[in-house]
Amino acid sequence: MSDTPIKKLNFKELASQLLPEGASFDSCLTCGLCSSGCPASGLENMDPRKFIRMAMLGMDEELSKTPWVWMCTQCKRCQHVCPMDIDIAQLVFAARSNWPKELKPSGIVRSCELTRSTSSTSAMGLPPEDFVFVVQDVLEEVRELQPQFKDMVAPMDKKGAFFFVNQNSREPMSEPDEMVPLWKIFNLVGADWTYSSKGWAAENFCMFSGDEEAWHQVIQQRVDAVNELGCRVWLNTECGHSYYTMWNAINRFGMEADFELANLVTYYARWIREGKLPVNADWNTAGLKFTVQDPCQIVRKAYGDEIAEDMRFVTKSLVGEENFIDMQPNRSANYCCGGGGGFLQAGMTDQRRIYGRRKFDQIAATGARYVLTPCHNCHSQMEDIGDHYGGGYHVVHFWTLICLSLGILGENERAYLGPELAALGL
Amino acid sequence: MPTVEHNGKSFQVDEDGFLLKGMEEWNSEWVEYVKTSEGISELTDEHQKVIDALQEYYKKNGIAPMVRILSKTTGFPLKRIYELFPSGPGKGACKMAGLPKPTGCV
Repeated sequence: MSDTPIKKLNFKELASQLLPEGASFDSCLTCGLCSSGCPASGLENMDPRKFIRMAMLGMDEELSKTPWVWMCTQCKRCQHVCPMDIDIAQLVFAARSNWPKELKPSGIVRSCELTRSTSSTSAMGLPPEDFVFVVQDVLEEVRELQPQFKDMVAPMDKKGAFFFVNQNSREPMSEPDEMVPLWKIFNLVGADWTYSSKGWAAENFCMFSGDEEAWHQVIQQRVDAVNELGCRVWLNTECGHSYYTMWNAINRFGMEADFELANLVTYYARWIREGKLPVNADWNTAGLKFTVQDPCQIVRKAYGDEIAEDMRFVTKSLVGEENFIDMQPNRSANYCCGGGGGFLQAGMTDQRRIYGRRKFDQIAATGARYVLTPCHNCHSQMEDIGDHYGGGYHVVHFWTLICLSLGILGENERAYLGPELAALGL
Repeated sequence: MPTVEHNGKSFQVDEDGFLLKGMEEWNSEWVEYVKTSEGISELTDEHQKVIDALQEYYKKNGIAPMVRILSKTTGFPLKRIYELFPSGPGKGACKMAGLPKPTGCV
């Protein structure tokens, strides 16, 4: 353990700077809405209301040192329900920033360092040439083994393409076949798209580590990569915090971005409505039940309920309206699963699973056999708590189910499906 | 940092049970320990081939290889690697080889 001390922050001053105009902490009702809806309440004997009250009481030493700041996922549900709109997540971000690097959770720090180690901006440290190799390697295999896709493309560094498509590093690194359903969808709708050998990766643990300068640099590389290719739309695929980290940083740091930001779910919904993705629920003859997990970073923290509605439209189109069961609460009021904010990389497994219990209970109450979510951290966390607490559900990407519904899901693209769907339509 | 004991040997591990000092401290007792904790019944030459490939790549590149590269280097399809290491190449195999825990959204 390092001897580097954690400096004492003045949390009352920081909190005062975050207040909306005309508001005052003296008016705080201490209503506890923030804490009652926070899955991190009770961990480290802390909760959001207590955090604010301790700040007002000048208990800066305790707040500066509490490891709770790494268990709060900065999901902003507390702010969402707060009558005063207090941005507690910003205080947590400030506290994280204040920790010496050597005392921060090593998994988060290392994920940030690897993100900065190559021009890929990949938290797994994948160099550009490896990404280019794996895309080409997988594409050649699909063209050979699935003759109906012998002409499918996965363009790289195509200047002027409409979509600049990002990808979570998990796919090229450890589950490359999961990229294929996405390519098939683009192929089917006739999208003009490209990957980039630079700035292609989705994740940003520098933001989670509280390292604002590193966060800025990572996003600058991505913005430069999109500008360089002259793409119209930076398309965030099924990765939760990727959108938030890009959108927030562009505004926060005043970057020049000559493109729009969009989320793939929005386009899934559009392509289904336009008839370009002719999905239906005919395959679901067993009446398998589905629910969706609203990623905090996309829904509550970015688009709001608009994209949550798109997720539900897409899901119902895929599985049948009668087979969709919402979690309660949901949309912008949904609970964080506990996989966000870098918690999965924080090495605090017991606390993360306690946090995730609320999500597990939410899922269990739906009785759903499958959870759909466009976020890799949600995905990993819900799988982990499912295994840990004995849930019988599976977590799947939207792209898997879209291709399943269309009858074009290949044999190697089914890693996340349960046994009842493992061979359906093959 | 936590430590684990196995056959009288003590190892410092990180929060997720990966060898803290990595390959610097890696030895056959560690392999035995991970074999037990991962529920692998018998270590074969195939396990060793995967460990060798992971270590060699890591020494050269400072990261674990992508599974496609691991497959090409060892000649084992991904399915076989999962049979050898049920918790997967990133978790089980990297842990046994003394590589750090995979980073990113895992």
